[in-house]
Amino acid sequence: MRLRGFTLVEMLVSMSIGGAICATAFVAIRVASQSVVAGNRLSVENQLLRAGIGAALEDLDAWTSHDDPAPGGDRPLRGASHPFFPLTQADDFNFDYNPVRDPTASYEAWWRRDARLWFRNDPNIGTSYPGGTAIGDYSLFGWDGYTDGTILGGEEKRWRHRLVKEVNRNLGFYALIDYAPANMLYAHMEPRWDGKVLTAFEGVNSSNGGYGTMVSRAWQEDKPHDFVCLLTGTFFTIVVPSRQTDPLYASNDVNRAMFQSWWEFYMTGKVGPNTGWSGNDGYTASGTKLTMLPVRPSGWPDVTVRVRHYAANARQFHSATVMSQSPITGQVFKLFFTYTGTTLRGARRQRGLDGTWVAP
Amino acid sequence: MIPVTERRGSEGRRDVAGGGRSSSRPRRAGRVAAAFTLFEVAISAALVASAATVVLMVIPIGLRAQHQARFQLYAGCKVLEMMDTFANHDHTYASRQLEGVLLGQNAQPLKWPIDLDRMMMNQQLGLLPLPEVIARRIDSDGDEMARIVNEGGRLYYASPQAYEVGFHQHSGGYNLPGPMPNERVAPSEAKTVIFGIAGYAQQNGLANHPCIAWPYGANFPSTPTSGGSGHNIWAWQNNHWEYLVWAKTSGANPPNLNRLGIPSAAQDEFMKMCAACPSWEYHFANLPYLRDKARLQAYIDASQKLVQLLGVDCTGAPPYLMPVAPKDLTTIAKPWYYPGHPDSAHLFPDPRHISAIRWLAAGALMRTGYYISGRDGSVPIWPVTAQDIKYAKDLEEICMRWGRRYASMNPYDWGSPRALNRCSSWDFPLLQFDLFAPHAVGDGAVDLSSPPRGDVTWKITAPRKPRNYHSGYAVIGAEWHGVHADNFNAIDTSWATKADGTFDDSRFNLTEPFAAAERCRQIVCWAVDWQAYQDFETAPTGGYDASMAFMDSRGGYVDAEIANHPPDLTLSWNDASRTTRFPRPSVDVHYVPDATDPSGYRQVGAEPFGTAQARRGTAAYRAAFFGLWGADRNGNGVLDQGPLPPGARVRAVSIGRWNFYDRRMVSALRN
Repeated sequence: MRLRGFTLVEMLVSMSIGGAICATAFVAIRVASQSVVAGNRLSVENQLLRAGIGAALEDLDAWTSHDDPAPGGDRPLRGASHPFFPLTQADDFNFDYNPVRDPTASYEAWWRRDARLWFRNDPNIGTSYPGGTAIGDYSLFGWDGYTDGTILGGEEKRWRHRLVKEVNRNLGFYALIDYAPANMLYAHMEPRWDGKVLTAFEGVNSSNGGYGTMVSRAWQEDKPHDFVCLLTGTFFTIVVPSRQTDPLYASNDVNRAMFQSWWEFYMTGKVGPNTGWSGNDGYTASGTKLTMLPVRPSGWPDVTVRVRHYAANARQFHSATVMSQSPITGQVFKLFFTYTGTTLRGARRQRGLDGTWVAP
Repeated sequence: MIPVTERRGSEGRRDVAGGGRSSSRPRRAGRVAAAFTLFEVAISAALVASAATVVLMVIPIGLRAQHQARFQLYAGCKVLEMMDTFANHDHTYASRQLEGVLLGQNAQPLKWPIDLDRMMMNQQLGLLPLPEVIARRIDSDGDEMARIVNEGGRLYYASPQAYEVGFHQHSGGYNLPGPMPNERVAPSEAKTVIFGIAGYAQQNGLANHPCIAWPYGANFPSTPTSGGSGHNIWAWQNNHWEYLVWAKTSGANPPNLNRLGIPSAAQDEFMKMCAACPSWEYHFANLPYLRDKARLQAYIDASQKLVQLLGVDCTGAPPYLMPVAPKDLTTIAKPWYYPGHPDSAHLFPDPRHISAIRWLAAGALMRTGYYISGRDGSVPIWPVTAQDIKYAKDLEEICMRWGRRYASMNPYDWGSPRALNRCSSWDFPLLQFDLFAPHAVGDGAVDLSSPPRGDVTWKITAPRKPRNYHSGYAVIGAEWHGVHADNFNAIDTSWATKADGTFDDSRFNLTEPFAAAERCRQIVCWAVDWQAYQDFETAPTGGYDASMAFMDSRGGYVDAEIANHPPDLTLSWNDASRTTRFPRPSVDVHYVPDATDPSGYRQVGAEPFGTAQARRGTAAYRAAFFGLWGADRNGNGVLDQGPLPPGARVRAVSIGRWNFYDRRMVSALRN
């Protein structure tokens, strides 16, 4: 019996081939494994980003992070001078901007209601002195307590003044911008301490931003004091004071503050905005952070979502910033977008704070 | 020994036991020993390899799918933002030209971002134009990218210096230095997302007539804007246009040609009224004026005579002359709009009457002024009576009602300013170019044809021909505030006319019914690594049309440089060396404490106007302005080159498409 086996060369060749195959398989499996890991990571990141975007869109529509209407929900902005403060409306203070004519009522009654939005004041509030009466007494045409013997008893001449005053002081500056009709001129008249009815200023520009200041440098130019003028070089937003770590913004008056983007030295006599009241400061302080993935696998990326509502550059913004950071690579992904979400007025109506839609 | 046989396929058996010797025991069927042939092994190995390859190929496909999903997230968010900005058009388009002297000298109709793709050429969206030479090297499904470029469109990429819109001046179009604290560089892969607009834009309405930016405005009640003497504060951008319309100013520029047909005696009273006006400037510094009873009395007397001379229907008598109120509209028989209607004076009031009542009401109000009436605690110069107060209040009511009636009934009557204190988007004349009515500009400008051809523009059509217009009196450009030359004739010849010389509204279609498909366009997104090209930072950005520049073809600076410039100006290389970006001379003007300066402060940065103007006339400036040397398109501050030669082609992957409504007018969903 003769036994025949592989030759050494055959063995070497086969071992080499086998080794190469094993090595290739190992590399292939490793690459495949890494690819699967990368694919899974991308998939998880995409899902998280998508979830973040979805949460942001939901909150931009519902404002839940600012005011949670659910039973027991967090409602930090329901106090006075904050945008979710409940307001009581009346005939001479309501949000019915375009009264429909009742065919059974008189033309005069409709006309007076329709004309209540007219600005009956000194056209250059801010340069005339003292407020609104230098050239003539504009308080004859309306102020927040005006009464006369007309068909509506003067309510149509109180309405605009009360709207500016009540929304401004009870809900804050951003709310006033949100609620005011597009052609609003931002001023109202009310009695001063000495009884004289004058235009009430919400601060002056000399403060260069800060509490109680709504007028900006642009008001000192000779422009109609409208939406565009108000938002030239300024930044108004909603801040939740109870969630602020910086005590500067923890004040109860923070929603009645102006942040300033730019300034004019010759007008203000100051160099730059006050500390903490630049547009950048306002942007940083504004908004709410949504809670995403409080419990997650340690290898998963973190996702943060911040939702902001603000007015600047003569328009309103509802923005979301979705950020994700990989715990492995440290790489940060950021998605920022603005969205035509629900207005503050719409959010308040959703909560029944203006007397309609759902019950609170 | 048990014999062992091995089956070796069909070619037979081979006895491997006993050295091939024969055996006395019969072989058992089925116990043959067999093995795969080399060919079989090769086939099976090939199958295994193919399967493994397929599996390995599926993995990158999965990765690509995830990348595609990531791109869709980027693109989706960007499109959300684009639509939000498009729908909530902001008002940061100030500092642009409003009027030109001649039709065709105003590129403003092209600068207003009514169309989304025009808005993409602004700074607000954080998109930058892809160089045309690179765009033409990219293949895409159905050659859609090439088609967009061939039809005059542009493709855009996300700026490497993406900013969060709205709160800082970048988004207002201002060329500020440096990143803002909240600005973060976009993910590198996001730079590969390309945006384009598919579908055709509708012809847009005009933001205003290119020669007169109507509606002009005034507060009701108020005094007229005067001529000269600095009495020009409040009405319409530092111009005293109302004085020029009404007064006898034959020597002025522009001369008043009395196009409203104001009686000479009324003009005299108007000028007396202006001369006496104690409050031209609504400013506390004008106390001498505000305390001058004689001036005030003269103003009131003249304004009342003016009202009477113009034939305004009044009751009472001076000093308490009272115009009648406009009639209740519900009592006026319809139809309203026909010549000879018995109540036409109440339906479509005479603009001269509206202005005169406004001035009269201002006079009545002046009697109640803070200083003259002694409300400041001083001895009253003009003690206010109850009758004075009633007169002022009633006149204000009448003035407001007439102003409202006038503005509401006919936005095409341009004889009296609209009430600034009753702004309405509906008081806006609808105008559009008649694209079939070419019109020579007539300013001597020619194109590069041989022989050269003079510049041509279009005439203007509207639902009805505006009436009672004058010259335009607004600013002609951001750097030149002043009354421009009389351009009444340019306005008067700007209207589309029929062969018989009458106004032609046949091609006015802004209010025509339309099918939804006519106004549907699409945002299309692709992903392509265009920054792999060698010349991705050296390719010129252009071409651009005239709407990109703040200067017009005559060299005039009609817009502010800080507001109207190519969107990638801040990234453009400054010269052929491509070592520095375009300098930012514009608005970095601020003050720093400086004890050596008498004011205690020192100005830092160059004024956007003034001394910086000289450099704008140089060819080098203009070459860099239009991106001739390329741009730092990845935002890292140095010139980079990719590995791909310009001759190579790349293919873009489709990411998504979104429909949107193609508006035809300047509009905003909210404020």
